[in-house]
Amino acid sequence: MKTIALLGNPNCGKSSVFNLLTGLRQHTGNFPGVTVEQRSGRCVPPRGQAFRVVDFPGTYNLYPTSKDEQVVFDVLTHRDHPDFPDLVLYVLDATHIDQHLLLLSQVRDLGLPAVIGLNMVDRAEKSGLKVDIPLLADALNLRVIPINGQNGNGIPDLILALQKTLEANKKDFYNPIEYQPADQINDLVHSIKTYLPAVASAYSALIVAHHYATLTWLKDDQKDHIEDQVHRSGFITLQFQYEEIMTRYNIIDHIVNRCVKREEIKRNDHTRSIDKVVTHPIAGPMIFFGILMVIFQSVFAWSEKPMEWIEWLFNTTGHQVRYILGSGWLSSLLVDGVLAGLGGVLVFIPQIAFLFLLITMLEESGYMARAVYLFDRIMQRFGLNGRSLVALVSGTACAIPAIMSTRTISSHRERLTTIMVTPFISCSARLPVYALLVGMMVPKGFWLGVLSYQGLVFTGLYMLGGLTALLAAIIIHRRIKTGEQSHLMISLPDYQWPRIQNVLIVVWTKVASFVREAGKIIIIISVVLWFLASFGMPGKMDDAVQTATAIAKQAGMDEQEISDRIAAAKLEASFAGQLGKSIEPLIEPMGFDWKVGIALITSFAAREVFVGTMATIYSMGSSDDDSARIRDRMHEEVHPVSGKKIYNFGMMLSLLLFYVFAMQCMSTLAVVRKETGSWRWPIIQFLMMTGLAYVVSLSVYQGWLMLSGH
Amino acid sequence: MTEKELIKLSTLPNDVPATIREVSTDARVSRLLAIGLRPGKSIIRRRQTLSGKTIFLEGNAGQFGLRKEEADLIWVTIDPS
Repeated sequence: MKTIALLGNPNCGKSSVFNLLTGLRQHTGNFPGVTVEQRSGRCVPPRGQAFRVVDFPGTYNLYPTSKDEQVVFDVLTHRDHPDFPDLVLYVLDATHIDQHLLLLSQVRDLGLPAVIGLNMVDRAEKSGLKVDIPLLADALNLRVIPINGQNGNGIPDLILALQKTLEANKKDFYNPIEYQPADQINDLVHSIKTYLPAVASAYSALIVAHHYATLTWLKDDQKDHIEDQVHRSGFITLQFQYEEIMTRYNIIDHIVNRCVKREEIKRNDHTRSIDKVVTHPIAGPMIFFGILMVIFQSVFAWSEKPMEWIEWLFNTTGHQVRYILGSGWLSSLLVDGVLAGLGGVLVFIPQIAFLFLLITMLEESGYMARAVYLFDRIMQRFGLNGRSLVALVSGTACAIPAIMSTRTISSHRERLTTIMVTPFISCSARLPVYALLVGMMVPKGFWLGVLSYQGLVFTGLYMLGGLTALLAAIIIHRRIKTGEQSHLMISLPDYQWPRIQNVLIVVWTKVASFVREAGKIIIIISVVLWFLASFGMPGKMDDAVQTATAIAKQAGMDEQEISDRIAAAKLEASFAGQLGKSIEPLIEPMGFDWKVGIALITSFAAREVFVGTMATIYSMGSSDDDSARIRDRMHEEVHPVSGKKIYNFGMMLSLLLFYVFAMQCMSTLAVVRKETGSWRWPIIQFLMMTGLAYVVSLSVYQGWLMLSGH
Repeated sequence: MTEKELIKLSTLPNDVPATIREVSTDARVSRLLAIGLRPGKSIIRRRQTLSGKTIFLEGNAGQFGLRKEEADLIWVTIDPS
């Protein structure tokens, strides 16, 4: 199947065109060898053969400032690359035609045939620009098809033009008139072209001279060879970049002057008026936080019902499976392992979907670029980027979509820092744990008659997470070494209504990616945890059951209480229970006993499991909404030797802080692995967060012991 | 500040039309040129963030956000009123 590369500047409407060409026949992955997201899909024309469309990251030129942009020249300069295209579909924004022709002129000099989809013609006309399309096609020696990425007008003609060009002789559409390298580097260009046969054109060789150090397809010895040639030729990359771009703009200006008639320029007053308010130095940040608050509230409010439905679906399925298979290990594996694990992950889908829906709408409207402008400086002080703020705030709902949203950060260093610190933000999974422990620790009542004590502690926990994320960012940012320069230099698009099809496709692909990637890891972990909690050393489980049954019957307990007591005894005798006991020496200095140890182990897959585990341990079954009764039992728990209360203030504070800082979410680790392309970062993240949690809990508990005289 | 005097874009007062004359050759030069901030183009500094370190600009090619140190690379002259 032939491959078409979809190229263009950022905000040229490329994604809309991609969605119009491929619909839902698309998938998201990474470009080979790098962690840059690649969207590709099949375009099936009414007649003729289907072709593959690869959506490349938007870029301004072939001198990249981020990994996303680097992919473009990496692929286009290497004929043997699996994504090397047969044809380029270049989306040209008619409202900024001169600026957007720069990349096209470079791409053509790489020796690639192209078709132009001239987008936003209507908007250009409204602003006083009239493009003479036949003249432009003639000047560029390319097919130019007017299209509208918003309503799909012109797309059938575009597909036809792509088919015709694919069938035609490549040379008919290749006329590299744009730029000839200066004489003084002709020798260098020639020697690179001779040395690397995969390099398609003289301009590709020049690009190799500029970027040989970062090209992924070059071997080390080839890089050394080219470096030697570059040094000997006296080639100064920045000077040649400047000269090349200015030479190209001279040619482009000439073409644009011929092909674009400028009537009286009508400024986009709509965008200007909105910007006056939303980029105002004081009102701007307030509006941003207002919008985030609305998003946050909406995500929680809208997700509530769908989350209940998903829970209901999994509970019902579990009951049905148990009913069909009866009690036994297979039924337990499927219900308590696979379904419980999957349900625990899929229940977050509504939050993820609504969060992406709203954030994508903000992106599509052009507002998000303004937020980047507003907060760039503040976030920079913490080693982050303006866009990091979006991820940090999204993290209050769920770290998974928040981490996925960092793809918009162009600097690898700032993106990685954001990924590493986002899980410090208190997510919704911590809420049940906070609710249980704060309810035990903090008395009900109001400060100054208005502010609830428990509410204040909740707020403090969220602030503590946020503050830790920012402080950690400073440290991590300093530790990540990269040659990449941080920059803002952002072009802010005109405001527009979000295109609903684009938004829905983004939501669909993000949710599908989440289910695929996080789902398969959580199933494995859940099954392992189920095994550890369901089985124990031979004989021990039976002994535990018999003993518990005898004690329960002697105490005159009812059937439910007996069943609860047996569940607790089995858990204690299980491998998980033994693990809890084996880590007791490690967690005792933090004030925790083996029962908390089991909950810590089980909740390393997902924090919210803590409450369910505690419920089982304290013979309540595993119902999460029994937190008041769990609380009473926990309050009554005394140390078997000293007789002192286990759940004292110091222990509860220590446990609460452990849950604020520790990394206890396998799904997040899986997503970090996917986003960073290596296990190195999730492992560091796990050790950093959990290590910090341990040190803080230990210090707090020991400090409390000293101060209280316990 | 006279009309012919070459000044850094970062020092241009708000709402004063100017024309870009030079862009310093720095690692960021290709990006600045490519987003449309190139010699000969008109530019107006509209406002800045509260810290004064990030600048909002309007030009022929649209709206831009630049850090102050990025605006330092661009030299402009004030347009005759």
